[in-house]
Order: sequence, then structure tokens, then C-alpha cells
Amino acid sequence: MKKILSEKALVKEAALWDSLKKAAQQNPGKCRK
Amino acid sequence: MAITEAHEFFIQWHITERCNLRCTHCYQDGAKTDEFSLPEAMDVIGEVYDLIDSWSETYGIEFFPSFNITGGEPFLRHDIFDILEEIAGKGFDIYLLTNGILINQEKAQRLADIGIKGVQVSIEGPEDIHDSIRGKGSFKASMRGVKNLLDSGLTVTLNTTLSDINAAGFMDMIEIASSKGAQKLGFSRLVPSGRGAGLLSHMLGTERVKDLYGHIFSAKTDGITIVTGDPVASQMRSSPNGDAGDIACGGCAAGVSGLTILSDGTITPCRRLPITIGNIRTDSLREVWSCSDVLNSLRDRKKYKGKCGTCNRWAHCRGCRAIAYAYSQSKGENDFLAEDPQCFIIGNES
Repeated sequence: MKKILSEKALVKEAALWDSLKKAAQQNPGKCRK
Repeated sequence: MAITEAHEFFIQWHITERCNLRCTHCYQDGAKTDEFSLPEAMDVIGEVYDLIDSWSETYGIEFFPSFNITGGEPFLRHDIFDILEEIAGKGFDIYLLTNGILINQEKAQRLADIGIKGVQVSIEGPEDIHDSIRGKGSFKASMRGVKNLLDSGLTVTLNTTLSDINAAGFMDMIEIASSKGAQKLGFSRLVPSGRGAGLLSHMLGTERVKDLYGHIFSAKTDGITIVTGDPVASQMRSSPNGDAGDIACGGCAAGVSGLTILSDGTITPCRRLPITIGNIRTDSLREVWSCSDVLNSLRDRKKYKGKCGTCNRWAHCRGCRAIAYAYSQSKGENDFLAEDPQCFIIGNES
């Protein structure tokens, strides 16, 4: 069954990866456990 | 704009819950029987591949994607090599977590041929301690598997789950790992959940954890690399420079850099944090990742309690959420955002 991503999920996903990008930029040289 | 650092993303996949051992501390209860068929397993691999591909293309992010394949005992699935070959063919790094008992020379060589990046074999201490936890004769049986893996040129991590049952024997593990030729020695803390829920009283006290970790990180290791996924242990080797901020980067992987899929398709934030956030048979992994209330809470500093909530290392640590949750359950709560009860690092004084 094909799983379609909802519009709500796309908005949340974009915000999430935007914040994770910022974290990487604020922690140069450091995103893994 | 590409992310400035590559982002690790892993799927820990319990391809079966069947096991040939009955370890006293296991965080699983062995109750799940509705395993994926091989065609279903191939669909899961395809969905994860599409997930990473979509993120990478949409957001310009470079990933280090990987699968941790485990069980139960993963080698009880007769089609494990079909699954591993499919994952490798999609370009994922693969790590295996096993008790090693079923790994003969032929299987070890097949793993090497597939390009498995590392194999973690659970060893709980010297033979008498290990066998008291995992069953009589299991130490020797696991070590036969370790030898086969090493003879095939694979990288092996011996990993110990620390409690007051085996903490005193952990320093002996350095010599054991060295004598067997293992490249790495790992440790994690006991999470009193699943079959291990009855071992709450065997959790190490805060001072004991601090003392033991101090010994581990100052020990002569004979060339053995010490590894751990314990965010608190990692903070011992880190010097903070003020507050690390409100966006998680490093530390506990739950909600940040990985997901767990159980043998019946249940999705959880972490292999040891038994909170259902979906099922891959019916839910979109991509939608779960961005919309799960549990995952979004794990990413929200304001929701954390106790010393984890006020710690200036929050972005790089967050403690072990699984231990926080299991410990809170013992007090009649179900709080995965509670403080890590074994943390000895007071971030606000650093």
C-alpha cells in the first residue's frame, strides 16, 4: 500500500530539518550519537 | 543549502523476537510473534531507502544511513542473508547485534563478503558472570562465534550491559577482549524493562556509575577501543562551553537520529524505550518521524523534567530516555521526559 505524506507532515518535516541544520551550524565540528 | 555536517540516521530493526537464550536482563519480553515475511521485509527496506532519498533530495542533507540488525537472535531467521544483501544493495552501512552462538565459519565469511561494518556480541563479563546472566555454556558458545567473525576479518565489539550483577567484572573485559582479538569493547547501562523489569534493584547507583566510568576511561586498554552509546558517559569526555542550546545535536538518538522497528512492525523511538509511535505495516515512517507527539516531545527542551530539564548540556546529551522512563514507571509514572536517575554530571555547574 502506497503511503502518502500529508500536508501537515510536510510542514512539520521542513521545520524539523531546518532546526537540525541550524544545530549543525551552531556546533561546527560536531549530529550523531 | 547543504547541511554543514552529515547527519547520521539509523534504523534499528529487530527482525525477529525469537531467541536461543533467556537472558535475565533482556529489555524484550519475547511476546511478539507476527514477523515480517521476506517480501514484507523487502518493502520495509524500500521504504527506508525512499525516506532517506526524499529527505536528502528535498532538504539538501548528506546522510550516513545505516541499519542495526538484531533480534531476538537475528540468525534464527533463515532468510537473514537475503535481508542483509538487500540492505547492502541499497547502499546502507550494516551493523549486527547478536549473541554470536549461531555464527559458524561459513556464516562469518558470508557476512564479510556482504561488507558488514561491525558485529556487536553481548558478553556480560568473565565466564561465570556471563553464564549466570545468559545461561550455562553461553560464554564459550558466544566466543566461538566471535572467533569465526574475527577470522573472517570482521570488526567485533564485545558489549556489556552494566548492573550491580556484573559491574565489578567489567574491567576484566579489557583483558578478555584483548586476548580474543576483539577490536572494541562497549558498555551500556541496564534498562529495567521487558524481562529485565524485575532487576530495578540491580541498577547501579549514581556514585557507582561515576566511579566505574572514571575507571573505564582512565584504564590502559591494550589497543582496545572503548565505545558506548550512553550519552552520560560521552559527556564525561566533553567540555561544555556555556549552554549548548535548544536544538538536539548528538546525545540520545531518540527523536534525533534513529528509529526502531520491532519484529511485528511496531515503531518505537529507541530499542529500549517501549512506547509505540506507529506500525510500519500501516503508517508512513516519514509521517511518524515528523508528526509523532512522542518524538516531537523528545526534541523539545521545555518539556524535560528535573536535572535534564535544567542542564546546559541538554542539546548534546538529554540522558538515557529509556532509563528515565523505566525508572519513572517504577514510581508509578510513565514519564519518558523525566530526569536520567543515574546522571552524575550537573550541567549547570560546568
